[in-house]
Amino acid sequence: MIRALRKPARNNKKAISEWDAIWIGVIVGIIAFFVSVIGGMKSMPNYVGEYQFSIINSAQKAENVLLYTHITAKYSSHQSIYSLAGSGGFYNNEKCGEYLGYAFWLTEGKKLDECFPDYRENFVAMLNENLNKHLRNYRGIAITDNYAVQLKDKSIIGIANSDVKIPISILSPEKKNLLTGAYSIKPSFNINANYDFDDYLELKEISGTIVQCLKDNDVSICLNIAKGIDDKFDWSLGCDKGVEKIIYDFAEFYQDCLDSEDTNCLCKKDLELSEEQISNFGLAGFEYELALKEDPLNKKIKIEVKKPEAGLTYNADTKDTGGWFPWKYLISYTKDGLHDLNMIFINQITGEDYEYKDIRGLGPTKGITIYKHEKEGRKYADFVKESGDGIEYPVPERNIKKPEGLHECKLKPKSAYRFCATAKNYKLTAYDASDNEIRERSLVYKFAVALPKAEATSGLE
Amino acid sequence: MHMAVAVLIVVVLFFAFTLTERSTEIKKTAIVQKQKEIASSQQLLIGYLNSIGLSGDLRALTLAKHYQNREYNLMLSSLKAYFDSKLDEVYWRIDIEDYQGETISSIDGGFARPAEIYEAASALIPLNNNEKNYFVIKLHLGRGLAYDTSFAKTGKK
Repeated sequence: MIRALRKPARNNKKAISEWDAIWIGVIVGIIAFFVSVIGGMKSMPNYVGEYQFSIINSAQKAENVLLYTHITAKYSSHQSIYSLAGSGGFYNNEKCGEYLGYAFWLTEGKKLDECFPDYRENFVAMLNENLNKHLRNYRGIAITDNYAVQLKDKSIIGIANSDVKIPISILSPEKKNLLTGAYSIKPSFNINANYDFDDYLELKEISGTIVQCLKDNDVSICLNIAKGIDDKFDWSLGCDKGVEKIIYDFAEFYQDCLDSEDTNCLCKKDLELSEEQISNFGLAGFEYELALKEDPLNKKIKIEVKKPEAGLTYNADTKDTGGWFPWKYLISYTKDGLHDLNMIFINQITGEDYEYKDIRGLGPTKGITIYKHEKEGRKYADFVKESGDGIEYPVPERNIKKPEGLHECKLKPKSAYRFCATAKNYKLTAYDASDNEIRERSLVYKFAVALPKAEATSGLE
Repeated sequence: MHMAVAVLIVVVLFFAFTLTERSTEIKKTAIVQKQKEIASSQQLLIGYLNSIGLSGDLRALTLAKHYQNREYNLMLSSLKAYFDSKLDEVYWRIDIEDYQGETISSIDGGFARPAEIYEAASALIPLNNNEKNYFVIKLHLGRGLAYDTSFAKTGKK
């Protein structure tokens, strides 16, 4: 058809020139079309609003950081309030030591002010650690050790020291950064914890009154006086639950027996509990395992919770007393009573393990017995069983007849007390190692008081 | 005749240019629209998490509690009720993932599931425990063959 169209123009120079111009135009048009199409498909480096969208995206990521920070701060505040109260206001820095897991607020030869915690500073340190645990998990943005914390009225305010920078970038099809920058935010927070930090000051005042009272009265009378001073707290002597109950009951019994000056005697502890006690202590259905290891250099026996993992330990002061003690102590309760008590010993001579599989066959069916005696001028405290007129050891060849004059050991009067003050109208959600759960709990302040020996009473917990 | 051929060629070229331009414009619009969806979805998700639920707590906190108690159905029903009311003109799917990126539970809604689905928004929510302490909510959107450019409502219905 083109040939046909071109034919009439062959004899006309002007026509030929016009046709050539048309064809050149058509070819240029086609080339322009393909260049346009192919060029357009190759890349779209920056469509309208792409930079702006990139900034908006970064701003929205920043909003997620703020939400994450806010929630984290709430968790950490509650956890820190709870943990700090449980450790008597201290954060791994008891000024006057501890007694069976409770920090001393008063001990021999020291005044209340010397041992009392700097609870505000300790709270801030604890809060920052708890915050860090959460914040270091935020993917790609590490914002740890970033807060100056203020406690104002009943609120906890965290002022961020450094900004968090969310990168802004657009990659070209060739993966080159077309735009680089950062969206900067200050992830400060303000949590209304509805918590009064001055609880510590009130408790300090009440504990001073209790100490004065203990000089002349039984501890139960002093507790009643404490209850009368302030209706804000419920008072009790010790309030261990779960694994804490297991380790500190065992440690207290063992330590009291080691501390006793008595000899040729038996320390006995009945481990049977009522249904109500098992329920209150939260012991039913769990298996507990303690491990004991001697540190002869420091004259200590380290008692450690192995199961469940709670990080609880107690160093029993042996006062240079030797003896047989279990390598492992295993105990479990059903809701009705003591289910099982096993003590596994290591024979120091042969290295073999000896296992008490059936505690009923070994002595007090539901308890522990320690035989205190002296041999060649050295004191011994052996875990044994009482059997008729005999005393049985884990190794049968060591069994002996009950010696003349064997009696129940006389323990030293109590000079230290562990107090729990439970806030009546405050609950919070927190984790506790005693049951390894996160749930709503009462806030319990725990602390210990030791009276000078001359003032020690015979009041027992 | 010559003129007619020339006009025909010009018209063909004009339409070719127009079609190409239109096609490029649609592609650009789709990308812009997708970005708009991403921005709107992120705003929608964060808005939901930051809002106060019936329990009086932040919804993010309520979701975290349900997650810890493994009450995934409660999480999903709350999310569905909200996103159904906000995203009724597109297909959407929400995945709840653990800290390892494993999908724990999912729910979807809106239009029928199209071929193309993309992640439009995500949020990390910390958990109140001592182990791996967060989970992730991811909002995916999908588009059908007939692309609906009217989407991207963010306001309340």
